[in-house]
Amino acid sequence: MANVVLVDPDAAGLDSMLAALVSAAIEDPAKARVLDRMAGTVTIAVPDAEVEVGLRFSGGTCRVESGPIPGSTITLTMPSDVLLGMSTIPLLGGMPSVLDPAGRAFALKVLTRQVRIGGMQHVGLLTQLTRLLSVI
Amino acid sequence: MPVFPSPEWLDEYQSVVNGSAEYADAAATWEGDLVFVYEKEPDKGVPDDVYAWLDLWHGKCREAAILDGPDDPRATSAKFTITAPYSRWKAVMKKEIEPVKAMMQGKLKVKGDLPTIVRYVKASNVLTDLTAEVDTQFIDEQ
Repeated sequence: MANVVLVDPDAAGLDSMLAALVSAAIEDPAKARVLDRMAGTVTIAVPDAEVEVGLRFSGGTCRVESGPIPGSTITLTMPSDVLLGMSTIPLLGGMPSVLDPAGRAFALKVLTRQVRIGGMQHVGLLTQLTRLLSVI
Repeated sequence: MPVFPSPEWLDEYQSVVNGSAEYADAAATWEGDLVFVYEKEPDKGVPDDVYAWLDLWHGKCREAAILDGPDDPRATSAKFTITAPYSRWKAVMKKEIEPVKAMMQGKLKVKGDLPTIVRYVKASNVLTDLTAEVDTQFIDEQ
């Protein structure tokens, strides 16, 4: 059964925000099934806010950690405004849709390295993550 | 010039919000009230936590009030609450702190349905930016 664990219960920053987003997402049975299938680790780094958060996916549980997970399967690095905006971009095949202006803007940020994605070969986990964090 | 925080300042802020075309556009479908909590800093002239309540509806602020405290039903039932010490709010209003970054750093503590906040992040930013539009006398600078 899908669930979310915020490792530091007193957390009040990006870690608690991501935990709240995932918790809200898995109220939708379809997204809960996505989480059930996820396996691997993700580090999200937001340099302008000087914040890094680790997500550990295993057995239907998302553990949200305050800090990076060394050797993460996927590492996402992007500015704070882009990270929040990413959740509102329409998806196509689990990735930001280039058919949408916001999706094209995101793709441009990837091309210009304002957004850096490490572990692109794990595209399955990446698309599961974008589905999980999408709020539209 | 209204003193921040005070009912007079909040009235002025409500007028600024209702005069903003940018906010009206960004929050056109927003429905729900919001409480800003300015946490006490007695050495700066804020002896108690201040609860500023805004009834936000479809791009307008229908009503605004300084509440009696956390037990006020409007505080307990508010859809969203954003909390920070007085001096941090002052830094946000002076644009020394960027609100989205501050939320991610835990400097502004957000309570409420996060997906909704994310959907309306532009409206939230505009709402915060508009605090700088109020001609403000900060209580610790009097």
